[in-house]
Amino acid sequence: MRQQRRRCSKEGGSSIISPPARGGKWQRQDEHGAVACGWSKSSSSPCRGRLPPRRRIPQQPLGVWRRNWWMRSSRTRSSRIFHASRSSPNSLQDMSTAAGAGKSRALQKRGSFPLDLLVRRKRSGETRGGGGRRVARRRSRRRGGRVGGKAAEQAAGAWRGDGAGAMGCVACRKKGKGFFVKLRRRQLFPDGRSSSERAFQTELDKNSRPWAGKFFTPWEEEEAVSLAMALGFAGEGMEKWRTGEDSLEKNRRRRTPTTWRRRGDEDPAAELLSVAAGRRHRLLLSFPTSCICRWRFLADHLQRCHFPFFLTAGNYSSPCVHPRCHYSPCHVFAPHGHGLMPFSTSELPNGLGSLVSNSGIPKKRTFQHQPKAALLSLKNRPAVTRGDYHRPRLSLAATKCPPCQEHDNPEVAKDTIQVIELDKFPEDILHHIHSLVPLRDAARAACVSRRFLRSWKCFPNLTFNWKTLGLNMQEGTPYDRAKKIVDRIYHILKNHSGIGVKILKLQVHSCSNVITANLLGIWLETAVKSGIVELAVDLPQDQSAKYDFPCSVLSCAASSIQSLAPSACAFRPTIIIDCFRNLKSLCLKLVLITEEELGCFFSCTISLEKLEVSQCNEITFLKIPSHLQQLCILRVFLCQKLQVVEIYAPKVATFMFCGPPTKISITNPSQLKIMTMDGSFYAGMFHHALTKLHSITSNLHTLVLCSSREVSRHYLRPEPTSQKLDVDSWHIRKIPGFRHDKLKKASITGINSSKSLIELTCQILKNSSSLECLVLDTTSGYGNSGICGNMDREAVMDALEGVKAIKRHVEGQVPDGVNVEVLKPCDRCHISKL
Amino acid sequence: MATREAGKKMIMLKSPDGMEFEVEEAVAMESQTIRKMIEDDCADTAILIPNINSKILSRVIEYCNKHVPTTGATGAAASDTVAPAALAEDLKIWDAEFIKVNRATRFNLIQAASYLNIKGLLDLTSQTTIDTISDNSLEEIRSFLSTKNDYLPEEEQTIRRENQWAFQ
Repeated sequence: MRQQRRRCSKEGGSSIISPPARGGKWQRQDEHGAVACGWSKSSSSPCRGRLPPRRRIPQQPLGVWRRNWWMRSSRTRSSRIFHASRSSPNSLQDMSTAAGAGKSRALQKRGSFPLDLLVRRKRSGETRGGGGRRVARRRSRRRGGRVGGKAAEQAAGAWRGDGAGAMGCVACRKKGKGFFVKLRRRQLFPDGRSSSERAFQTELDKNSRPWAGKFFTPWEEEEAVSLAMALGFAGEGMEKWRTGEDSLEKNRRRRTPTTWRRRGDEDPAAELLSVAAGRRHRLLLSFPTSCICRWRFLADHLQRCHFPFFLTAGNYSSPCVHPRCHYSPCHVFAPHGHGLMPFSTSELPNGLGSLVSNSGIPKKRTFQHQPKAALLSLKNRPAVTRGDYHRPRLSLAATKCPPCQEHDNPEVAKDTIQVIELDKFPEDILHHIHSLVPLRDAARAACVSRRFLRSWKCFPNLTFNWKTLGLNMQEGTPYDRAKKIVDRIYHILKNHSGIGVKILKLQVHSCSNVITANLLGIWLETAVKSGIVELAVDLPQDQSAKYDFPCSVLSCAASSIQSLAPSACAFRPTIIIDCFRNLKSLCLKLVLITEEELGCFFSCTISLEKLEVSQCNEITFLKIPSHLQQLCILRVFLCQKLQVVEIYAPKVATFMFCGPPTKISITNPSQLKIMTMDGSFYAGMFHHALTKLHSITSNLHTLVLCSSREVSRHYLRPEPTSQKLDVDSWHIRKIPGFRHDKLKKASITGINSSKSLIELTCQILKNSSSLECLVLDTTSGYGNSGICGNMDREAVMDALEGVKAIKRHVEGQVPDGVNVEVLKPCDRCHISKL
Repeated sequence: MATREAGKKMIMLKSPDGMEFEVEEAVAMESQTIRKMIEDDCADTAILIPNINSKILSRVIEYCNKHVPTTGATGAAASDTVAPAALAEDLKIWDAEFIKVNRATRFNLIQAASYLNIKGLLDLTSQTTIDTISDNSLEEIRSFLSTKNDYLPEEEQTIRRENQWAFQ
């Protein structure tokens, strides 16, 4: 193979980087830093070269793979490059010249091939002369009389927002001995753009960043198009792009049906990626405008792919245009010497880093291990903080040496250390090692030897859920799955000695009709013994009354237990059990417990630090007694009958409340630093906060208030010591004596053009001398996943009005040193839906 | 012999093959076993570490040396401009490099870490070992862990049947 590894230079500008003399790999880097790569044939015989045999992706040691994967995967028979960009027309000419060596001779002869379109076609003999053609004809006849097929397709269109872009699609069809080239043009961004799009045009122009996307994919054009759509790259041409989706439907029939049926209900991008996964192709996506929100979205899908993939951002030095995106791409994508080695892995979105960082090829995964819930969890994922991306396990896994390398290690030869067998290890070390293994692997390891079996019988970490039990949630009926889960738990606990259990988590909320109260009792009796540290029972949510948490089992574990979390059951600790000396965290969710019973339980705890009472609908009066000296975090969520909360515990620093306005009293409010009053589903939280909570907010650092409808308009006086103030949709006309000298950070979510809000903003700016940052969010706020929340058309228009009003009234009043951040609706998620 | 050098107390560690290592007290204190000895004033003369040869002991000391400043000087590090997260990241990379050793060394390190009661090292070595277990067949696991199958054939059948779910 005439393969030469070439390093691409990091200099800007379009330049072809040393095209090989007799064909081979070419690379090009345009001014945005995106690099295009491909293969060209030897110039002496451009069309007659035999196709290289289809290569299977070999399973190699990761290090080797990382160096060579470009070479190995890029010459597969159906590899094709689809390129769409007119962000720099000249560079495109360069590119087609560079690829000219590989262009079909017929195309060159006819001279009709536009220079700015680049054709790469390698799949069949259709573009080749001689034997290749004959083969192709034979093949196509076999395919049902269809002659030829699209011989080359290619697209170049500016996806920048200037409207000049058009997507060209060339289809070369074979007819007799010659070719004809059919040029279809499809308008991507029709000129009749909406005013709102134009409004943001200035913003885009200012950044002078072309709104261009490049796809180098082995897929059909339509697939790439709908991928672009799914990724939100389609901009205003959304409707037009639907055609892409239709053809996807058509293609669907041609694909292996199982793949499609299994995940037919998912996002188109996910589908495309699974197609690519099925084909074991390489995928290379490159977007000069890199929105990390989108990457995070992609990362979830890509986790399930078997193939090496590469994501790159061309313009990694500028911030994201996505107005909601708080990541800066420069943290994520760093250029690297060889081709497109793009990542500084430490900053990658969750999941992505672990896949790309160490190997360049993601670890092969089976779909059983990557069930759909992984995809769905995107919505519920808490905001990821930087540095949280690497779990120790991941980084360690990367360093493990395959055994073959160990023996090659020259160190071994001169090493005089004798090999100890694990068998000779003391029992406790073996037990320690075994206890670190996940449940399923631990069960397997039990079959290795008797010592492991002994260790398995007192396995400490019993976390039971469908994931740890190795169940496929897409298989069978819910009842079957539930039955399987229960069977497996039953078997494990039957063989368990019950000694040494540290953690027992029964996360069986999906097994609604299978688990009986009796069974639950038996399980808890088996596993809950003295020495247990954490106990969580997560039962089917709709049947709280059916299960009675057997409090008697707790008595033997009272001295050791540190965390208790019963959920969806009746918890009646009426009999006074032993003192829970070490209990630090108690979480009651959907639990049937009255205030007397709760008081009774509190009386046997002393060191509680964290308490959560969530959806406990029997409680009307929540009293946190004063002997809970250590309690610092208290959360009370959505208890329907709750009317009064009295907190006598002296050290509560964080109090989170969600529900309708409720009477709250705190004996020692000076310790309270962070307070959240979330009345999102109820009216009047601001009014309540204003009138009733005045006395307890004296020492707050952070106050978050949420409300949906405010009936009355009252003046609001946040506390003068508040350092951070989070305000949602406040209606305020005029505030006499509004003075907040310690206020450092304020944010108003859902600000619109209404006069009162603009007035409030001006007041904050004028009267807060130590203000550092003011965030004015015109939209509905972040979703949990960091992707924009949903907004209807009206809300988007409202938000745009708000932006205008802020520009007109607020912009001039910003004092020096105050950073005012205005968050506008997102072009991709909101504006495009107008 | 415990000596003082530049204000730092030094501890002498001795391996069974006669090598002696002089380490700072803070470094030696990473090991809970040695810490207890020092606290009980048993560290006046050189401490003999049985069962751990000089090669392994030197690696253990290397590990402790690397890890002592982060635990000891967190207060100082916080005031520095260096973010603790970056330090932790560096340490993780160092750990990954450190544990790239052959199996025999690793097992010896496990034993040493267990005897000296160094939690970080024990976790690191054990975790690396168990990473070999996942997604491998029983025979592979046995060879990775160099452990022998001591089941009778029918016993193994029974055990496998009981844990059949883990093999699916």
